[in-house]
Order: sequence, then C-alpha cells, then structure tokens
Amino acid sequence: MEVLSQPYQEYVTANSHYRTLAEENALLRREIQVARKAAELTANLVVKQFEETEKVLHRFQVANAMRKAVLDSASRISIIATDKKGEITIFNTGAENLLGYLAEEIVGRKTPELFHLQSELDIVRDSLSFKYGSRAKGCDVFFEYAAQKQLAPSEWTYMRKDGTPFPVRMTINTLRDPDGDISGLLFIAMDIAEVKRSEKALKESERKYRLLVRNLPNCVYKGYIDGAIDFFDDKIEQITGYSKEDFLSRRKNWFSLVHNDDLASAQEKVKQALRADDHYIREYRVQSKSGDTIWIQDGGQIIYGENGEVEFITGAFLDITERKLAEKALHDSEEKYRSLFDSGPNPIFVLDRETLEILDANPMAEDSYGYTKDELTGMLFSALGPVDEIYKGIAAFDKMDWPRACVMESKVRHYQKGNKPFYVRVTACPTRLKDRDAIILATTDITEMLEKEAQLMQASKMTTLGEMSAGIAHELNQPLNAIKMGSEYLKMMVENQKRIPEENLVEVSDRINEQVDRASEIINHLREFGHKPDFAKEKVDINQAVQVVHGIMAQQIRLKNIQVTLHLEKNLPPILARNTRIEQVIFNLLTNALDALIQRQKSQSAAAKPAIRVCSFLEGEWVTLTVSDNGAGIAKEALDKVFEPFFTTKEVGSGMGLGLSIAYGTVKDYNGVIDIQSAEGRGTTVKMQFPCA
Amino acid sequence: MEKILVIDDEKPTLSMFRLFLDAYGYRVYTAENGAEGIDIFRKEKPAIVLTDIKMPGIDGLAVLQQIKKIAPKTAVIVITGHGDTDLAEQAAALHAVDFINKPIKREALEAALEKARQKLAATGRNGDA
Repeated sequence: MEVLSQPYQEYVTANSHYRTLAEENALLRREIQVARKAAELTANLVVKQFEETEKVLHRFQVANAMRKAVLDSASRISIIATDKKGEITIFNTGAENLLGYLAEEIVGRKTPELFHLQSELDIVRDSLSFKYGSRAKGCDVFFEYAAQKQLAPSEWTYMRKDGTPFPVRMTINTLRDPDGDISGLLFIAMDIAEVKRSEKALKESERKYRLLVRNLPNCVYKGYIDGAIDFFDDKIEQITGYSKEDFLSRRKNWFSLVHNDDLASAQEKVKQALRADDHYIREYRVQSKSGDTIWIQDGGQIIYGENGEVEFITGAFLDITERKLAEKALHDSEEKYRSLFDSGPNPIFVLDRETLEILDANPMAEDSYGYTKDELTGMLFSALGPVDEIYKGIAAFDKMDWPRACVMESKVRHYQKGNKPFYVRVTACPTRLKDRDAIILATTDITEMLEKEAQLMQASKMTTLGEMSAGIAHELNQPLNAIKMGSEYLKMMVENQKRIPEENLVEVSDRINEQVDRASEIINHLREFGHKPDFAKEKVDINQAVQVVHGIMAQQIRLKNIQVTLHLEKNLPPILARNTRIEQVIFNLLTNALDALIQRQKSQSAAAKPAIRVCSFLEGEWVTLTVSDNGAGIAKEALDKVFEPFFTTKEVGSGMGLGLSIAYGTVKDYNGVIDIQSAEGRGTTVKMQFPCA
Repeated sequence: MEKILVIDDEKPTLSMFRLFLDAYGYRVYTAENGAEGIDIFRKEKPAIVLTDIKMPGIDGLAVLQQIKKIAPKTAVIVITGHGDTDLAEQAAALHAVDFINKPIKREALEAALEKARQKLAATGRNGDA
C-alpha cells in the first residue's frame, strides 16, 4: 500500500490545482501508473490468492495424507493439526475416538491445550525456558517445542472429554507453508495404554521369573556331556560353596565334585537316558568346597542338535541332603527298632488293627508263649489272651495323640501253648506297618512279680488279722456264749430232771441255730479274707463289699464308741474287680480311719464325736466310694508318701505301712483312681473311683 | 422272788440268761445297754446285777461305778471276754462281787450267783425271796 499511496496523493493534489492537458497527460500517465500499480497490485493479489490456494491445496494434501494415516492406523491414532495461531484445523476420527470429542466441537474453536495436562505443559515450558530462555505462553509452547526439533516421539498424557487421562506416544511437528514459514502444528499421537499395560505385565513376569529362579530350591544349569557346566544364578554357591564363576568356561568339572562311589551309577543314568528316554533323574553325593557331603537330586533333559548329536543338557539340581539324612535316620531307627524287636527281652507282637491278627512276633514272643513264629503269624491274638481292653483302647487311639494313645493293662491272664496261664502287663500302641493300620503290642511276664506282690499282700493281711484278732475273738465269743449258755441250760434242766417248757426249748434251739450261723459267717469272712489273692475279675457290688467288711468290724468299732454311718446309694452299677481285694481295700481304709480316731482320742480330748462315714455313689460314669473320718489327719509332708509301700504314720509296731499302698495298687489294677485328702487334726477322706463294669 | 438285772448288748445272750435265771427262780430284768440298765436299776433296785463290760456307750465298769453309787450294797457280777484279766481286776477294784468269762459255763454262773448271795447275806441286804 505504501507503494500506491504516494503517487495517488500527488495525483489528487495535481488534479485540483492543474486542469491543463499537460496536466491531463500527466494525469493520464499517472492513471497509467496507477493502473499499472493496480495491475501490479492485482497481480500481487492474484499471486497471493494463488498462494492461498496453494496453501489450501497443501492443507488438503496434508489432510488427505492424515486421513489415510488415520485409516491405516485403524483409527487408533489421533491426528490433530492447527493453524499458526494454534487453532485446530484438523481433528481426525482417531482423535475423536481417543479423545471423545467430535471434530465439529473442536475444529476452528479450540487449541490442543485442551487435551493436555497443565502440569505437563508447565514442565515443558519450564524446560524450554531454562534451555532457550523461551517465554512462551498458552499454545505457543507447542510451537516452541516443535521448533526445537524434538522429533523423537515422547510420552505425553492426553485427557479425554470425560476427564480420564491416558498415555500417548506423540510427535509434534511444525507445518510449514511453501515459503518455509510455520503455518501450523501437527500432533500425531498413539494410545499406548495397552502397550504400557503389556510392558508392565512383561516386566512383572520377568521379575517373577527372576524371583522364581532365585527362590526355587532348584539350581538351574546347562551342562555338557563331559561334565562341564554353566550355572545361571548364585545358588550353586549356597549348595556347594563354589560360585558359578568357578564353573564357567570349563574351569571346574562337575564330575570332580561327585562322590566316587556314586559317579559310575550317575553316569549310567545318563547313558540310559541317551539310549532311551532323553529325560532322567538321578541322586548322588557331591563334596562341597568345605568338604561336606551333599546329596543332590539332578533332573536333566538332554538337548540334541540338528544332526542328532548331544548339544547340551539342561537341568536342575536340588539339595536333598536333609531329606537323605532324614531317610537315613529313619532307616537307622528302623534298624534299631528291628533289633530291639528281635532281641527285646519282652514278647512283642504286631497286630492288624481291625482283626487283631498277629502279623509279626519276636523271638521272645515265641519263647514266652511257646508257639513258633509260623504258628503265631496269622493267629488271632484272642487265642493268647483277652482282647476287650485292646479294642476299647483302639477306639480311643484316634482321639488321642501318641504316646497317650497307648493302652496299658496290668495283670492280664494270658495263655501259653497248652493253655497254661500266666500273668502279663500289656502295652498296645497304634502304628502303621506297610501302609496298614497296625498295633504294636508288648507284654511283660509279671507272674513272678504278682506272686511276690501276693505274698506281700498276704503278709499284710496276716498282720491286719493279727491286729484284728482281739476284735474277732470278741466277735466270735458272742455267738459262742449264747450257744454255750443255751446248751448248759438244757443240760442243767435234764440233769435236774426238770421239764423244759416247750417255748424255752424252741427259744434255745432257735438261738443255737442262729448263733452257729453267725459264728460260721464270721469264720467264712476270715477265711475268704485270708485267701491268697486272685487276679481274675468278677462283677463286684461295692456296697455289698462295704457291708461285709462293716460286718466284720462293726463290733470292734462300736466298742470304741466310734460312730460308723453308711450312706450307700442303691442300685449302683457293679465294677469289674475281685471281691476279696476290694473288701481288703475297704478293710484297710476302715482300719486306718479307726486308728486315726484312736490316735486322736489319745492325743487330745476329742471335740467332735469320733465318726467314720462311708459313702458310695455314682459320679458321672464312675462308681465312687469315700471313707472319711474326723480323726488325727495326716501332715501335709506325709500326704505325698501315703501310697508308698512301708510308709506309715502309725506308731511303730502297729502297722506295716502297706494298707494304702495295697489300696493304690488294687484300685489301679481295676482302672480306678484313688485320692486322699487330709487336714491334720481335722480328719481324712479317701476317695476311690472305678469305671462301671 | 429275788430281782436280778442283766445288762448285755447281745440279745441272744440276754435271752439265754433269762432262761437260766428263770430256772433258778429269779425275777429277771434285762437291758441292752448301760444307760437302760441304770434306769431299770433305779426303778427296780435289784439285789444282784450282771453286766457285760465291753459295751458301746456306757460300758460295764461305768455301770458298776454308778450302781455302787446308787446302792453300794448291790452285788454286781461283771461279764468279761476271754482273757480280759485286767478288766476283771479293775472291776474287782470297784467292788464287783465276782466276774465270769464268756462263753459262760453253768458252774461259773452258779458260783458267781452263790458268791453274790453270800455277800448280800453278809451285808444284811436281802431280796424279796
């Protein structure tokens, strides 16, 4: 415009001042000039127009190319172009798909800033400003960025219309017009969320694999047929003390570590694998750097080359030393127990758990029972002795932990070949034998011990009888007196030739009859009591036993002005025991109570009336008997020892110290429990409990 | 009829005593324990008392002492078990007229009763007969 304005000004000024031809000529010239200028101008304009057209064309070309790219990239690539002010001119389907905007809301209205995280832009701006002193604002930052020829794709975050961010790999290029001036920007962005995800997954899986290799007890290797070996991690060092570098480049041969005794068999395995299957597992010992022997389980796969030659072996070592040691310990212990079994001093049987069939028996079992092993094997254990308790025990096995699961039964009558009885203690424990539920049953011949025990008991009873003799004499004297007097009366009447009134005769004969019975009953008790103990079991009514003993002792106790009360629960279930032995126990307990009361009467003026209380009752499943007295009681220190044999708190000479010991042994024999509670000066209670029969 | 009291915790013994003493012509009273015996003694004042020594509750020696307190002239015969010589001695010290051992022989009983009668005669205390 500058070009045109000066002459045109002159023309106007001249026109107003000169109207001459010359002036007209001049005017014409000027007009021509103007026209030329105008033509020039027009030409310029046309050129401009052309250029514009060119530009549009160029844009279309770009757009088409972009469109093609969009189509090619399955509409997952966002292509956005802007003009030089940053206003968006192209927004392709990919962009619509990725960003969630429609082209018409964007094109000509927005700048790409819309899709970017302000924070990312700030970082770019800061970095540009730092590096190049740029002061770009708003959209200009993209121009600056593109101008710095950062053509390598870099990761950006795009924001969708709904506000969700996603990662893109993006290139930002400048668009230039044919003159080389910047005419806009081209943003090509690819959604890399999927890539990111799979990258992450890949990384994770790599990490896991590495972890796996590191944490696996197996030590992975690549080996060669000549014993050269490569390792992939340092685990080999943990196992052998040699690092993986020690083996690298054939420096150390694996075979040199293998125990001499195992080398041949180990190599044989590989040979077999070579001949047939190409996979093998072998176990052998190696010597570690520190000289320890290590058991290795080696699983290998032979890898063949294209020509069928062995290329290498891939495999893994596992340190199985601990397992081998455990196996050896197990084997040793089996050996040990086998030798115990064979040479044990007691008969031992292995029984089937269901049938109690004898599966195995040791030499001592042959000896003790008089059968050969062949005879015993296959025999039912019930042929040797009672099995009820064993079955009961088996039922309890499952509920208990070993060794509590074992059953013990004492004083069981077993039979040798030829039905000769002997007494044993039986211990039975659950076990497994060759995947079969079995029972290990050991017996101990206690016949001799029982004989001794019986002798001891007998001695104790004789002592008791001796102690009791005065009382018994008194007791026997009563019926004898009545009989004596009755017979003397009859004799007197006959001698004096007097008539005996019939009712007197009846009275005398009745009394004599009755008193003879009474006396013989006392004698029977004494005889039964004096019997040597028998260990066979019978059903015992504990109340009856109390009555019998009370019968023997009542008079004696009464004469000492001691009150005995019996609280016997009716219809108590019987227990499985031996009558005479239970009677003896009750006898011992009553005698103790009596002694305690006498002791107390001697030592102090008894405040309370001396009394003995005998109670029987059912406590749960247990038949219970308590014997209580309010006598001298037992000192705390002595209480622990009262069940020990020959321990007595009584005066020297008045007791052998066997009463409670025998009670204890007897109660245990019948699977019962006995407990004593005592307070010095206040009295004692002994409580016995037996399982019902 | 002369009254006689027998104290014994044994019923069959009491019953046999009754037969004997009936035959001897006594009026017989019996008691099964010391306390009952003393009660009857207080009521009936028998001249002769036979008492067992070993009895639950009040024993024979205590009965003897009490009776001697109530009526010192009473002839008390104690009955002892076989071999209870020290009890017999104690009874003698308490002025029992005699003791007899169980099982009781007729001769011993008769001798004791005779002794009692003699003693009663000597002390001038006669029964109803």
